[in-house]
Amino acid sequence: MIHSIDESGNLTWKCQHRSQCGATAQYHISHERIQWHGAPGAKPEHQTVSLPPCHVCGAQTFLKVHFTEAELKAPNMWLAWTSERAQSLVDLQAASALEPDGTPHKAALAAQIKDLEAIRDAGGLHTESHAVALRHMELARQLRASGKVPQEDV
Amino acid sequence: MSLPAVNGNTIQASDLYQLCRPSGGQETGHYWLAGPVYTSGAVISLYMPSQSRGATPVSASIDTTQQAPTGGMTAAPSTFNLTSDGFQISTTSTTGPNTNARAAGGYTIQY
Repeated sequence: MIHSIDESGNLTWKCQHRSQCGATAQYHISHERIQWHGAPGAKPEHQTVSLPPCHVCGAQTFLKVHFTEAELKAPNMWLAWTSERAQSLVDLQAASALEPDGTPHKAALAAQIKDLEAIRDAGGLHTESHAVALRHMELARQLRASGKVPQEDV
Repeated sequence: MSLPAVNGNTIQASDLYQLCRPSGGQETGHYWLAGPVYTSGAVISLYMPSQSRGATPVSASIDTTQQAPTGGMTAAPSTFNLTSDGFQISTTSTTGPNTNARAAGGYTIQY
């Protein structure tokens, strides 16, 4: 996943291969290894965009750059306000009322309550994964604008 | 999560992450891509189902640390068709005819 992309096509990325690498890099979208990939004749939404191989571990990351509305509402993308979360909030508030002030548990309960109230007040909450998906879609838009198009568009 | 699972233990939310990865979660594994190449440019492909279902991945990374491309495979493979069910690993960087073009290594799906 990319961590940022600006309007000029400069992107920053941290390798997350095998949860171990952690190497960071910056590229411009004109980099020769930033390319669309897909099976011959594949639809654009089935294609990915590659980043250059990691300069530390050698792994290569391929970004999903097309997301359907359903994919953007997946549980890792959208935290819906559900009856289960509403009950959790009630339970946490009850537990917090019984907990003596100043304890670490009280603080932990307060943090959980705050998070749930934020979801409740917003009617739901987009996650960081949703923000990543939007950055990837922006990358795809900039690639097309620069002339790098999926194979089927050629 | 403690392994192996023991009767009587409370099921934590994190015990179920592999079934539907949360935001920021990862799934790792290994792949082995191999096949005959009847002519240069022929496709060698496999589909890698994910354990996670329902969560939308944002990227996938692969390496060739277990087996560098050889035997008619001239470059590391690519991944695409990335969905909540898994992804495809494939290459057309092949020279043929060859009987056992192959590459292998680890993969990571980022959610």
